[in-house]
Amino acid sequence: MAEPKVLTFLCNWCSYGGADLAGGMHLDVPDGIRVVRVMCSGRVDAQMILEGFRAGADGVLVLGCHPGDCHYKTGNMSAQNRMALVANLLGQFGIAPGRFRLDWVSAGEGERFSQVVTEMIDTVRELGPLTLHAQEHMEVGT
Amino acid sequence: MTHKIAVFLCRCGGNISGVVDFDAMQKEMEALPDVVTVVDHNLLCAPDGKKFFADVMQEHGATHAVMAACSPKDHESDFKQVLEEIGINPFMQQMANIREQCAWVTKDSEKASAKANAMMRAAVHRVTLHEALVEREIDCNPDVLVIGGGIAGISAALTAAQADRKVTLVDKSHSLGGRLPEYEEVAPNSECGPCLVAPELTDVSENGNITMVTGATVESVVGFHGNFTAKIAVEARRVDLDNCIGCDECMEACPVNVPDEFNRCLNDRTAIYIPFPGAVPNCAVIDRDACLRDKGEACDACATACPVEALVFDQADETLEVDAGSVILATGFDDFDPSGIESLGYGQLDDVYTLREFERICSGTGPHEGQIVKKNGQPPKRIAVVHCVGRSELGYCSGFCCQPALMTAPLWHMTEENCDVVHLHSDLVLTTRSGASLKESATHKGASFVRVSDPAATRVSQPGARLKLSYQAGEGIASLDADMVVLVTGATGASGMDQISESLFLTRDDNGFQAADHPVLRPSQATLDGVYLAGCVSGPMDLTESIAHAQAAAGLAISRVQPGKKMVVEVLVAQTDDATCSGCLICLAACPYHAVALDEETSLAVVNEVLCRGCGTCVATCPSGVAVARHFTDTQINAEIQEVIRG
Repeated sequence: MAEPKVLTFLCNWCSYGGADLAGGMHLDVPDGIRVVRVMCSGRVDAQMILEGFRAGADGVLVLGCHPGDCHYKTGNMSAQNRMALVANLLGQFGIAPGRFRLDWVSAGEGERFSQVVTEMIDTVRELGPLTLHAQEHMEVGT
Repeated sequence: MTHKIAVFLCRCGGNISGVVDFDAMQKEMEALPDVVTVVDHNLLCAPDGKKFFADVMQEHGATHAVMAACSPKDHESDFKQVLEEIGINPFMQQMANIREQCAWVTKDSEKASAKANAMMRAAVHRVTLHEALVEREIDCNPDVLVIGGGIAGISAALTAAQADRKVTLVDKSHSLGGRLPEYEEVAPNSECGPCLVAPELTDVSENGNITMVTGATVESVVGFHGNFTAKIAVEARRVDLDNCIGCDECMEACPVNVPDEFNRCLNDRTAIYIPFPGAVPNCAVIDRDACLRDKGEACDACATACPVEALVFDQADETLEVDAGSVILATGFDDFDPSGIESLGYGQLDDVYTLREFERICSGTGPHEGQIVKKNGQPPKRIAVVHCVGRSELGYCSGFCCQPALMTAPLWHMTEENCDVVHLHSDLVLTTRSGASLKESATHKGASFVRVSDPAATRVSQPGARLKLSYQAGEGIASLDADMVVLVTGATGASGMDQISESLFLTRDDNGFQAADHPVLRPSQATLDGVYLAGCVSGPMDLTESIAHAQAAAGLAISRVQPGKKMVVEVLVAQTDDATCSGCLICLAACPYHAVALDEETSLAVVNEVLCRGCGTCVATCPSGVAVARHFTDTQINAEIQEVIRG
């Protein structure tokens, strides 16, 4: 079975720093973790997540600053509110809840980054490759 | 436009090329559309690497650059600078973070190479969609508005004025000085408060760069960094500031007596008064709540007594508009009000005072001219000082009250040879070197210290002639008699800050203190750029800390906006489009910085580029996809998504 791929949105300030730190510490990060940097987790919208699944991601992970530590005060909380809706939406597409996760990683948490992404890949591997019967109906965004 | 992309593969001294197959990557990159050259280098960030980078770009007439390298957090700014030097917009590049996020974390070379290729394809795909972004500069006002004229506001104003800035220093009371003039002895050197503040006040009044506005309330501050406008309501003094010579003829003539706030209402002043000895401006003011003329009576005793005809009974209140590029908040704190704690008897029993009141009782300019007497005129035989009042109600230790509480102990002893001083304390927070020696000094002079195990359990009652205190000592309850009780109260956020705070959308903490932008990294900066915090407005601080904090605030204000220099505005901000915006205004609520506003004319959303920090939350919220995050557009991100996930 091919290794699963997880589209991973990292905010510029905390979680991207966490990922860099994991690199600096030479920790394990599964190669299926594919990163797209955004300035804030609050920038991630539903379309971007659906686009990820449509492009072939087996899972989508959004990592932001811990609550209270957001570089943009409350952008991560906006992300959290929005992701609750996204989770509902994904259910309607028949995408298992385990394929999507929002979590917090600070720029000082290299080990936590490694641990969260490894967990995510393991969960998605267990769920197997994503097959979307209605893939042709997922034309979102242009 | 035609894209000519130069792709650079940085070996990073083997850090990247030791894991990632550069030959394969070279072939894959060369096959991509618009790529004009793929070159590798041992260390692209080194001086010869940057020269190589510039030479290759120019040699191939490249318009865009993509680098397989380290984290953009490490060297993106270097490459941007090189591009700028050779006349290419610095945003026409994309770094793929192959070192930190691929080579260093993937042991299997084959897997690392496949991932690196996907990251590079994504970067190449993305860079063709990049737009040239140009930094914008705006004019800004170098003037400084300081709100609050206590020692923090004074220090901030003087610091900014020394740098030749025009400063408007506003205080709600009719004199500058704040609390410091109330204190007879100030830690650590037992200097008298009025003596400490007097030269500072003289400096303020003589400084041509500082305009003092007293008796004034700031009703609103609107705008953004570099361009604020404050609306200030100024209460008429009814005494001509220029003519009044600060003699007390009018006060001797005034027939009205009302409680004197400076002495915590422990004695009276007249309706026309000078707030305290040494007030600045040293000019009388009429208390309109007390003056007989405001009650319809035809009194003109003060005007008749005035030797310089300074009274202006018909002087009108006015509203000023002050423009400033920076705003410093120095509005101090409020004392915790112990009257809500019934068991302490404050406000019900005679001779139970707050420390602030007691300071006035001890003072030579106080209600009894420094004689410490009970309400009945008798000297006390024992004074009990109850520490930590309000600590459990507030939920925090203010950390700055133990020191002044101990400071007064030697003073009492000097004044009242036969008077015991007993401190009922829990933790004594004396964090400075001089603070620690205060306890020794107080003990040496006869004060005694009793540690209570639960400060909230202390009770004050009056079963007979004397006051009785009961307190938790270990497991049991102990008690002692006293003639006076002094309650050492903590601090809460300053009241009266709603209008300023709300008009600037500043964040306050649960206790009403203004929140710092970052409590560790930017303690003197408020949550809006261009607004700074000086002293206790952001939390309890002692005098030394307050002044340092205030001077830091002024330092930030004068360094971040400079006369004749324009201010560079963040490039990576959001923008809207009038042609497609529906005016639903959902983005207004989403913005953490209140940077999106309603354009009154068009009824559409418009982004203030000075306030916007570029998080993109509004963009994600916009239901019609009108809002765009520069350099992080939907198209750019989607291009990255397609490629990074493939292969």
